[in-house]
Amino acid sequence: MKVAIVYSFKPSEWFSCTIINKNLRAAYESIYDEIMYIDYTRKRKVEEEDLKALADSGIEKIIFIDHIPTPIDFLLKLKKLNPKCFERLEYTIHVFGDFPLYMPEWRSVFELLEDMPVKFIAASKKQKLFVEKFIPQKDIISVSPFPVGESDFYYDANKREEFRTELGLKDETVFLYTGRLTYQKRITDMIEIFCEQMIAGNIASDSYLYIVGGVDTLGVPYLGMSQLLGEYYRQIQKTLARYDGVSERVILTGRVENSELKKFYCMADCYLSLSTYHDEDYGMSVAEALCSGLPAILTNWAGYQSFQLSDSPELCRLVDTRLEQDLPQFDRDQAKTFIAEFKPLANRAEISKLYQDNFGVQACANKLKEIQSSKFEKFKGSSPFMKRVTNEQFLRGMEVFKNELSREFNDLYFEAYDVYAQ
Amino acid sequence: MSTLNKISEMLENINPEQNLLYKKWNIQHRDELFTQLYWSHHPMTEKYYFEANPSFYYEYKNIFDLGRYPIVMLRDGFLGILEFFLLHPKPHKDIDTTLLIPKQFERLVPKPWESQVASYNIYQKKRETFTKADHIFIYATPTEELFINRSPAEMAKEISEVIKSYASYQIYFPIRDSILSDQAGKEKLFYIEFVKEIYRHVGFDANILFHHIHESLKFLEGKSFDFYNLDESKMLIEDNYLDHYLYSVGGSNYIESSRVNDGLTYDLSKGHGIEIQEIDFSKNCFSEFFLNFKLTGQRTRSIYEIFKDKKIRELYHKNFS
Repeated sequence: MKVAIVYSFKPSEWFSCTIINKNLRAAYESIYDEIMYIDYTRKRKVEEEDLKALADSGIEKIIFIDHIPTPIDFLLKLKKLNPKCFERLEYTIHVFGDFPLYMPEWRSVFELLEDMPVKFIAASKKQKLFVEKFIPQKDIISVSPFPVGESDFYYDANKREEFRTELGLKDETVFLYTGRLTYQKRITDMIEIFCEQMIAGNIASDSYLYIVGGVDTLGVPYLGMSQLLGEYYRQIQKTLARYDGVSERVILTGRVENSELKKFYCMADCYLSLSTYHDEDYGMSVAEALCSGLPAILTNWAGYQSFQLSDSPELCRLVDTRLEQDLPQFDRDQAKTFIAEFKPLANRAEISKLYQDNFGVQACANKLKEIQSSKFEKFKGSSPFMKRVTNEQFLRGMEVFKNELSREFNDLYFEAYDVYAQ
Repeated sequence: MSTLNKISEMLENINPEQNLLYKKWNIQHRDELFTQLYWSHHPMTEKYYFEANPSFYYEYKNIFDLGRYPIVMLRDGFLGILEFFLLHPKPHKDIDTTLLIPKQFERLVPKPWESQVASYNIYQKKRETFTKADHIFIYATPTEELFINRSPAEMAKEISEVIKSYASYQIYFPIRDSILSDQAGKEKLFYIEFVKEIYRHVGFDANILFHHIHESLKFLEGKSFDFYNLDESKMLIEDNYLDHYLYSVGGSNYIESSRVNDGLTYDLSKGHGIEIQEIDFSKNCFSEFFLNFKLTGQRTRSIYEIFKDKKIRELYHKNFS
């Protein structure tokens, strides 16, 4: 069977999205014999010849696998130039974490696709709950994680030994965070908790916290709080300065090439992320770490919840979270306890296998095949809540969830994001 | 308390929302001409964060506006620093602000300012491991002030030599008006001349970026690369946003920029830091400029007038080239 897959051939500014894109293509390639790839550029352009080829091909399924742009311009052009083809197709749309940032566009997409056969695919259960607030038909929203390349991320004992030797490490316990260093990812909180536990003697005094990634300036866009270049780096430095004597156990490596990450996952003993980032629909770094056999301590926030497997919850411990007026919060005492209780595990290869069986390309391909083979229902449009959010966004842009008086989150925010903290 | 101790304490206790100009939303440039100048040199003039309140002199409405801040790190080059001290040769009795000025121009500080001024120097931190970069990012705004020390032809020739030792390169020359120039210079003549020379020395297929810098910078993140800021005269801008950005995404400065001496040091990114030192008055040359200013009989002097003054340019070459 032939399908069409639409994405931007030019890589995304968000590296994780580029990887997700590549792995989704690999998953679909294992399902379908023939795939027509169509370039829908970041500048919202699609070639008329491509649309003509799609119309002439007899293809009946089209799948959107990129995060931006939204499918709106593609669909408008297709409907205008090839209305029969537009009517013929079944539509699948993978939803990414930036979904709420483009509400007016999604509203137009939804209007355009009304009465058409459509499926939406969320990357995690909590994201599905979030998307359901905007799309009342629960049955047309499925869950399939973003896949991890099994040959890219697996446990390699030799690599662990080699890299540990290179870093001058022996049997020390190493906690690891990888990803962007940004305000909502709570890097300073993570450093505080690690250092406080070191000082209290609750974790071995030779433990390390490795933080791998570059600093960014994102801040909290919903609250109109952006950061300047270097601001978060300075906050991290000031936090470290408060823990003289133990702060040298926190290693900031800066950005590393993606191909280097697997060494870090193999070398470390525990993945640690206390993120409460609003677009945390999934967590590609976490998935890659777990597929490398690295147990994790995470916040029970948004997509992170999906990484706790019901049969072996001890491999991924989740710290309780709650929404607050200024920023979602996590239970600091619980995070401290989990870190103190952590003991390195020897069965890394088994953990790797277990997570690859759930989050690897093949596992995701099986899930996607199941989704695609089930019946496509007619889409009945957006919810009243979506109309409210869209109207707010028309008026207030990115600061849609901001209380204009207190500069904190408003009621609309609590209504939208309560499911991320459940 | 020494100036450095005072600064150290200030930076420790700074309230960013209140004490840093760039954390405020209502920045008013002193005049419209500076606003044009600011945008003609953007993104070099873009804001960044440091507790010492980096900002340009003309980003304050007047000296009293500047005096609302406990510390100001002037990002200006020669023109702004000179103008400030010509107009304020001794500290105003109502202004307690401590100033940080570029090490390169510390010789312009009048002695009466000694207890309220220190110098700063941005330096590249030592790398744990060194690997030779195979890519270089070269940049400047080709307006008249760039060519004070070297002609477009000389600079283009140097670029052609520099890029030979790299597998790939990018040259970023935004097309901008020379706001400080007279009418002839304003019409992008320096830009045209420079690009012609680049084509002559590097070739017609020279990889020059004129815009969409954001995408090109994103491409550099996490890569091993060198960067080369062609603006060595620092006429208008000493403290350039792109330098900070490129250090912070892992770039190495093609120009040696190591630490000068002991003093206060602060990390600004994984790749670079800033050192703050007492002013060295041993080679001070402020009086030469001040005498020239007094002889004009004028009471005010702007960066635009300073740039066009032949005598000042002569003194600049004598003391700073």
